[in-house]
This record gives sequence, structure tokens and C-alpha cells, in this order.
Amino acid sequence: MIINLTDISKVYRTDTLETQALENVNLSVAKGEFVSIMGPSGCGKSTLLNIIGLLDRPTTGTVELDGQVVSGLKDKALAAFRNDKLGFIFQSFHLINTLSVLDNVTVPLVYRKGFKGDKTELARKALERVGLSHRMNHRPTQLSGGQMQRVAIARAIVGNPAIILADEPCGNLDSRMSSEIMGILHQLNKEDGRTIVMVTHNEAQARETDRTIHFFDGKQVSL
Amino acid sequence: MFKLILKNLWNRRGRYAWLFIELVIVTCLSWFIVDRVTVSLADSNIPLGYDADRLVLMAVGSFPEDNPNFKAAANDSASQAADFRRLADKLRAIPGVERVTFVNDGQELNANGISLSDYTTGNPADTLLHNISNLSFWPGYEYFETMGIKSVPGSPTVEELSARSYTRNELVITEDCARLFWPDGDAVGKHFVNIWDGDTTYLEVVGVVGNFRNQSFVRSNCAVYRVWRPLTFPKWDFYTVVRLEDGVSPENFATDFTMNHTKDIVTGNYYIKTVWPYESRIAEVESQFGIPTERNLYFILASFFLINLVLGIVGSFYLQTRRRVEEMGVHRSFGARRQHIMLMLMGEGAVLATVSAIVGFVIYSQITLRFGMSIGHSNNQMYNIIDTWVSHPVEHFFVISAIVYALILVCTLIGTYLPAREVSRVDPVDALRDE
Repeated sequence: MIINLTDISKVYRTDTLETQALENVNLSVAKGEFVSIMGPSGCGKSTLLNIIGLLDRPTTGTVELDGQVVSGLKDKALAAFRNDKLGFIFQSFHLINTLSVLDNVTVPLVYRKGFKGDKTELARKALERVGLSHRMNHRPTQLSGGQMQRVAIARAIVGNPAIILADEPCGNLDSRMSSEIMGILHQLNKEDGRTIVMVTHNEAQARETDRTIHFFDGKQVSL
Repeated sequence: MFKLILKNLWNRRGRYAWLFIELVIVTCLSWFIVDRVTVSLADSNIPLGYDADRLVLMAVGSFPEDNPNFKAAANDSASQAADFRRLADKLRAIPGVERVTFVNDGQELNANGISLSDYTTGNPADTLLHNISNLSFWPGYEYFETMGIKSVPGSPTVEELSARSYTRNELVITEDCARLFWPDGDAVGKHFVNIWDGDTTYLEVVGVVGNFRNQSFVRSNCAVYRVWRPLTFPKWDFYTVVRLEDGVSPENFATDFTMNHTKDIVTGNYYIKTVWPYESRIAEVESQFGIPTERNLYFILASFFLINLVLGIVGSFYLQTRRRVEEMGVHRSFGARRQHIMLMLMGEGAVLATVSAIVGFVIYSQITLRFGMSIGHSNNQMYNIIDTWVSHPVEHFFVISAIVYALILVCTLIGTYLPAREVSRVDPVDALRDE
């Protein structure tokens, strides 16, 4: 299993309030699997994705990625792990508007330890892969929503990560753009064998994946 | 990372414009202030060339005729000469005293005035006049050894120069002075000409001594020693300089002397009026010239500008980084560590400071071409001031520019550190939510 979560709970605490975002979640994802996570808003889907993506820490439980227990790692090791093994696609793209498309895609390679290759060449190839090589000198603000999400996908795959985590990648797109993006994700899964975990509200998109996990109120209600 | 820093700066050039302008202005203002402070401090740190830390200066007075202590019998020149020798002997007998010498008022090293006159080599082809400090000393009283002025190879030793008999037109010059007049060879035995008040005097160099600084806040300048030959001993004030044994504190000696010995050290009509450790006398003269006040003023001005710069940078970078929290979240998501975020933001500050400083230096170089650079307090002795980096315009410009750049860079790094540290500590997941 490339992803193995054991008894994951996440509690958000303030001075007066305690919110249980996730409760005893156990989840395993095989290498090369395309898994979708569904559930109503606020049920903990994105929290789970952030925990898998090492952007957030669970209150209790163990996260194991690619055979390594990562829940206890320090900030430096977590950053290196994120850079090496994980690629993120966000609903609101999170592109850096002051950088060109090409520079946005290059970002993960800037932080890769010991990387000696040609960053620009790799970024160009990633953009070709998503059909945007002709836009690489544009700014994100000059692109459509679908194009922005394709840039985000190029950024997610440029470092050749084993796992891609997509948080509602089509949430801000119309149906035509959504199917384009889903097509690219399926291509990455089938052709490259990348493991993809995708949070979605769209049942049709979820049905296209290998497996759908349903969440409700912080709990896993089906596999 | 460096490319990313440059791209970030270039793509945000509109937002950084004001900070850039502020940095350029502060660079120019800092240059003006740092130049003056540095030259002044550099001049002060050149070794004095004599042992001020082992010397005590004493003002010697003589009782006027209407004073009850006045001794009419001791007022002839033979008695005065004998009283002088006895005064020196009495001082030498005090524990801790190594040597004693005498100098005329206003001729002691670091006096608050310098006597200058024009000299040439006496060669008809040499028409260039050199404006040189004139000093005098009393032969036979171990003057050079007492002051701690050094011997120079190729010249009689300072002991020989203090003790020898001089004719009226023989003199001793400093090493720099010898190099100035006879750059290719030995100065001893050479002649030159002193032009003073319309009179021309031919003089022979009988010895060369080590360089010293005639005032503590100027670079050493060329100086000549002429012998003071007392035909009658002075009735006016003069000084005695006491050299203490190694390890004796001049401050403690001065206090002890004032309390315990002043009454005993009276010979004929001569007595000790005031005692100063030489270094406190130097500080007193510096004070009379307003040197500490000037340095403090420059220091306050420089601090004001630099503190303002730090605050300006902190403010600007806080505003900039607040708008960039989400961007930092993206970098963190794709593998940036906290140190990378710090490095990126502080690097942007450092590059901005570097570019601004270069522009500021180019602007200020044009100002220096028109108005010149600081020459410290040596401006009344522009002739024959000894060579240091201050005298070389290119070297001078680069030294001051390097100091200003270091200051601007440090201020910028301090100013960017706090906002960079704050934003680097935001969790990636929280940073990504920031819009």
C-alpha cells in the first residue's frame, strides 16, 4: 500500500470550542489506484487530504506513505517528503500570479535537493503534457480557469511524484473544462501509474475512479 | 532560488519602487555621514608615534616678582640654569619616574596649535614650497627618548640626537619629511631652505626620527625639529614631560603627585602648576576642537537614518509579506522549508539593497567628483599629509562604499528578518487558506 492511514483523528481546538474534524479514520490506497473521496461540505474530506499531503498533522493516528511512517517527521523531513513524493492540485489553483506559467511549474524543482537537471526543460515537458506549452510565458491571470488548472496539474507532476492529491480539481470549472481535467488525471493514472486521491462533490467524476470513499461528519461511512 | 528571488523582485518592481527610492536616498545620506565618521576614526587610530600612555605633562610656572615666594637671588641666569637642572633631578628622584624633559608652551606634542612654515630643498630647480610643522626641543634633556619617538635606520639614534650639540641652523626631521624632500636617498647631511616671514634660512639635516602625529585627530604630517637654545631661561610658562616606568599608571601618578609632591618640587622660582596624564591632555585638546561633539553628532545622525531605514524596511516588508502568505503556502506545499521562505524573502531584501546601494553609489560618485570626499580634520594641513587610503580617491570611495553597503545590507536583513520569520511560521494549510 502506498498510503496507509491508521486510526487518524483530527480535533481543532480553540479556547472555548473543540471540533472533531476526523474520527478514527483507517484508509489504505494501493499503488496506481485512483481513489475519490466524497461527502458533504465540512465532513473532513479536505482535512484528510491535507493530512495525507503532510500539510496538516493528525491529532492521533499514524500516516504511512510509500512504506515510511511520516506522522512523526520534523518540518524539514516533511518538506523534503512533500517535494519528492507528493503533488498537489487545488480547487482554487493556487498559482503565483506574479510568476509566468513556466516559472509556476518550475517551483517544486527549486526545492528539490541535489537536483542538477534542466528545470526549464522539465517544466516545458510537463506543460506539453497538459497541452499548454504555447502559454508558458503568460501570466496565470491571462489564462482561463481550465488552463489555470492544467498549469496546476503540470506543477503537480513536474517533480514526478508517486502520489497526486487533488482537492476538488474541477470545483471551479464548467463541465467541458472539468471533463478535460478529468481526462488528464485519468491519463496520468493509467499511463504513468500515478496514485491519485481526489476529493470531489461530483458523483459522475467519482464513479470514473477505481474506488470511492464516503465521509460524513468526520467519519468514514463506506469504502 | 536566486533566479526565483530576481524574478520575484522584477515582477513586483512597482510595489518595491518606494522602498528602492528610500534605499537610494539613505545610501547617499549614509555615504556622506559614514565618510566623515570613518575618516575621523581612521585618522584617530593611526599610531601616535610616541608613548602618550606612559607620559605625564606638567605645567611649570615661575613666581612673579610680587609673589611672596619670589626669590630675587635666584633670578639671574646662572641660578635659573641650576634651578632647571635641580627641578629635573627632583622629578627623576620620584619613584616611578624614568625620564624627564622640557618643552616650551605650545611646542608640546598635541598642542592646540601648530606652527607651520614653508621649506624647499635649496636646490634652485626645486621651487615647490612645502608647508611643514615646526617644533622645538631642548637638547641635553633626553627629549626623543622621553617622548618615545623612534630611531630610524641610517640616522643617528634618538639618544644621540637628544644629547648632541646643535648649531643654530641644524635640525632634525621626521621620516616622512625625509621621504618628501629626498625620496631617493638619505636625508642626513642634506640641506634645505626655510622661508619664514620673508626671511630665508639655509638649514642642515643632522638626523631623522620616526613619524609621529602632532595632533591626535589628524594624520601625521611632515615635521621638523629645531633646537630651542635658551640664552636666558624662560620666565613664561613651559612644560616638563615625565616618562613613567613601565607599569606605572599616569592617572595614579598624577593624583599622587598632586597630593604628595607638588610642594616639594620647587626650585628657585620654578614650581609645578598643573599635572595631566598625557592622554587626558590629548582628550582635552580634542574637546577644545569639538572633535567628540562632532563624532557624536555624526553618530546620532547615522543612527537616525539607519533606524529609520530599518523601520521603513520592516514596514514595507510586513505589508509585502502579508499579501504573500498564500504564495508562501504554495511554496511550502511543494517542498519549501521554513528556511527557504526566510532565504527567499531576506534574499529579496538583500538584492534590493544591493541594487539600491549600487545606484546610490553611482549618484554619490558624481557628488564626490564635484564636492570631494572627507579629508577629516586634516584640512588645514593639506600639504604633505601622510599617505593613507583616505588620500587616494578610488580607494577612499571603495572603502566607504563597502562600509555603507555593509550597513545598508545589515539594516535590510534586520528589517526583512522579522516579517520573513513570521510568514515562514504560518502552517502551509493555513497559508493556503489566506486570500
